[in-house]
Amino acid sequence: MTSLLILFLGAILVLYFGIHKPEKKSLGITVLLLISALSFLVKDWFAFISKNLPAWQIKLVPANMLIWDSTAIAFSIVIVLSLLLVIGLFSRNNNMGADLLGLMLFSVCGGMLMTSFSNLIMLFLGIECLSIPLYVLAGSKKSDLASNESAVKYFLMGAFSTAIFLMGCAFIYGGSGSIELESISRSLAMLGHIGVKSNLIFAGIILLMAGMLFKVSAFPFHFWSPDVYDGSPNRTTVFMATVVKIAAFAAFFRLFNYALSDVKNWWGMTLAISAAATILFGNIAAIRQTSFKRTLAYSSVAHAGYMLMAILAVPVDGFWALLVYLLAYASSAVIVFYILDRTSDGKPDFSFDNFNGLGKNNKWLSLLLIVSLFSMAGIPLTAGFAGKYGLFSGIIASYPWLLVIALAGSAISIAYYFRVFKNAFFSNQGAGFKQEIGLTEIIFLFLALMLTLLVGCWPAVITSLQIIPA
Amino acid sequence: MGSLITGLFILYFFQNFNPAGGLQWQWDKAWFSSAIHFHTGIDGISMIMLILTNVLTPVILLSAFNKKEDTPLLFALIVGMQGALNGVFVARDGLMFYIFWELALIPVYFIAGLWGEGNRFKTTLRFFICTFIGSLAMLASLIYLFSKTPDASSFSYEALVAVKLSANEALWVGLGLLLAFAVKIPLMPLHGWQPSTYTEAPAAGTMLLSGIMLKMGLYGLLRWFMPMVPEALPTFVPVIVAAGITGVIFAALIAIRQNDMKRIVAYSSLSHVGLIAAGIAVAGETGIQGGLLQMFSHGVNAVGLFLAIDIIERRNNTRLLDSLGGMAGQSRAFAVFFLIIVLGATAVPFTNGFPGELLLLKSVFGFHPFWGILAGITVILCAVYMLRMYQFSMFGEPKGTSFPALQWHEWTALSVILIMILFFGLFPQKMLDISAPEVKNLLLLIKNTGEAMS
Repeated sequence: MTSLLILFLGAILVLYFGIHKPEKKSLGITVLLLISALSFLVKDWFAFISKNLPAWQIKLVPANMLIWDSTAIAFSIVIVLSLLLVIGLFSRNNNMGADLLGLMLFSVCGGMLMTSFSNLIMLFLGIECLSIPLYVLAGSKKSDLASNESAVKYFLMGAFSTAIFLMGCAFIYGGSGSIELESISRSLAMLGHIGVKSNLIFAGIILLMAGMLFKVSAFPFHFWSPDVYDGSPNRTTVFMATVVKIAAFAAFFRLFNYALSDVKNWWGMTLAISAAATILFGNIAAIRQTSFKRTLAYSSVAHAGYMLMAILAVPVDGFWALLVYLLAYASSAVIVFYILDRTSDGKPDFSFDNFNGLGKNNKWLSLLLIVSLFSMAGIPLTAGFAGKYGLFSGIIASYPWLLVIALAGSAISIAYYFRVFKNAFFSNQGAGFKQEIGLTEIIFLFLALMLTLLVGCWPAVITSLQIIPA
Repeated sequence: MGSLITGLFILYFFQNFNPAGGLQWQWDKAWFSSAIHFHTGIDGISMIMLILTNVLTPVILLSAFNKKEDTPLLFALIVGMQGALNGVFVARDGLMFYIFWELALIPVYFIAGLWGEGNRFKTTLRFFICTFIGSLAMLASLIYLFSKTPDASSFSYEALVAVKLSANEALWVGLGLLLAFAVKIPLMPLHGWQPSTYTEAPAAGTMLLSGIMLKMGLYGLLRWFMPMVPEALPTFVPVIVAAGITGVIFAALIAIRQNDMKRIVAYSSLSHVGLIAAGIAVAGETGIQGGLLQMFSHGVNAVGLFLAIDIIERRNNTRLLDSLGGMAGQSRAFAVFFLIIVLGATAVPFTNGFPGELLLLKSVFGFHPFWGILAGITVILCAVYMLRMYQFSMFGEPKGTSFPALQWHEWTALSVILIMILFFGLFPQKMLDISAPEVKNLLLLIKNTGEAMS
């Protein structure tokens, strides 16, 4: 929990630096903060595994608000790691000042609350703390109309979904008499045991699910995401696609697998249908786009569909599969968005033609593009395959038909991922990419590439940590 | 060249290989998790495929010298492909097999996309998606089998084979596996990607595809499909045989009408593999042995034919039959090479195509005389289109301006092919001996699991 404090105080510090000192220093401080938070998290992880984590650290006792268990720590690690990648890659070319960095840090604090809540109030706080800076970030290109549009859209839709979510919390409270996950789980277990179906709780679950589905941009609540992803500046889009998505899924996973797992038969099928529809819709819609940024937005909807499968899987398998998948998606999305950002060169034009001639002009960037798109498409020996494999094997026993749909979705996704290759390598026209890439960026690109390949070639790196059940 | 080094390794393995010894040079390490291992081993069947891969890849490399695609990248892709193919043929673990299977797809996608001709992007994408759908179906089947092993504990070949399925499950699992293999082979209704990909890919890509990659599908059929779902074989075998033999006739008839030499060979290849698939599916010792022999010969012959076409095209800038002719008078040496390759592909006695085809026909005939007779027609049809191709391109009035002499790398490549054609035409037993004991084991495996079920 130290890392949460570090990041929260750090965010204030960064804002303060923004007032006084030249803004360049705030970047260094942010990176330093993230690295120290990351090292604390890793330390916590090992302490937790060997049961050395002091009890006050594990549970924020007074009202049973937070729990710092392996799920929380693992997802927080992935969140902080992806923010590090985002900042490392996007800060220099996007003039990220102290204000944006501070907002991102605040948002990440909210994300960490969403991984570690043990009380619905805390989850609500986390969502708000994550979302409010995000509304600002989405509109952070003040002169750009699309950016303003996306901010307003995101804000209205987000506020609406939060209200629905809150309504769900109220219903759950009405039905089970508690807003703590543990007691909810206990009373639901009792209900499930005697076979009584409480309509109040059922309605609550559906409303909670609607709120969460909105946050992860899954069918039928995905309509905001292509517009918002497309309109926001690249740095915000990539932040949404990685950090926000990880936090939302961590919360989704914890809420449904810790508190509501005893009544899985109430919500399992609904969620499975939503996952199937998300996969199909996201992939099919992505094919028809002309803007690559919009394609990525739809592909991120499709990925959300895959990740929903993790929530339906057996909890332990689902946890590891989700972790690997999120890590894979984040590390490859960061690379792809980076290349998209550099090839569009500040212009609001993200068509596939931007990639023309990339293969001739920059061999290394091409390699990165190939590996990360392969990872997104789930080709073996990249992290994406390891994640997909985990999800598929977790789902096959309970929902074989969902597996078939997921595989069909994978096959469809090839069509648009490989369209980039057509422009980048197979077409002879286009001036291509002629910009310098800074040393910091090379380091972070390399880090992301290594993550993709290492997890892909040898997922045991992560899954062998599976000493304790999540 | 790296490829030769691998070749030498295989030669070393071959020298020390004992056909009767079952699985050899096993190497087994936990990989993804305790359930998924990096497990390799070579037995008689893999050995044949390994020899094929590692003899042909250097030939393919040689063929690419002095061309527009003669770049380090091409050689890297080809050698990468060789690695993936070797991985497929030695894999003893279900998921590892799948991974190498997918990996083998990627280099060939880039080869065809980067140096292809015509509407290459659309063609390669269609090729990739078709085969990818098949592979994903296979993945689903493998994961399903895995989930049925005791405690979902192992992906190893033995464990997957030992899984007992109900008839209905076996049907679905078998369908998934079959889809992957049938697309790759390709069997008749699933061959849509093949002719255009063969035609538009550069010579090296076509050789890789036809010479070696198709054999992945046949190998998969033999090694992974039949022992996995013996419960459903009675349902599947007639389908495979029917699809295979229909493909034989259909493709041969199309080949007769083609003008583009590459397309002729593409359809002839479709026709040949149909017969091999049918022969293997019958699951008798003759059929499988003949199938293995023919897989090897077809690989050699297909690479030989595409090599010859490539040489012709390089000198005339065309490979259309109606604008070719009279090359026999211009280059005697090439005419001899090409003739022998054509004869090998037509399965004339004393060339490598003959013994395998004989065994296959015998086995299909044993399955059902009707299919046997239909399949027998292929010998005639094959002679028609092959000799037509040879006649139109080599005889008649010279239409090309000149035919520059063969270069050293072309000599070498053609000689290797020639030696293989003649050697295995005269001594097919050498090849059959390698695989015989393992084929017996495999049949036993299919039978045992099948009987334990019923």
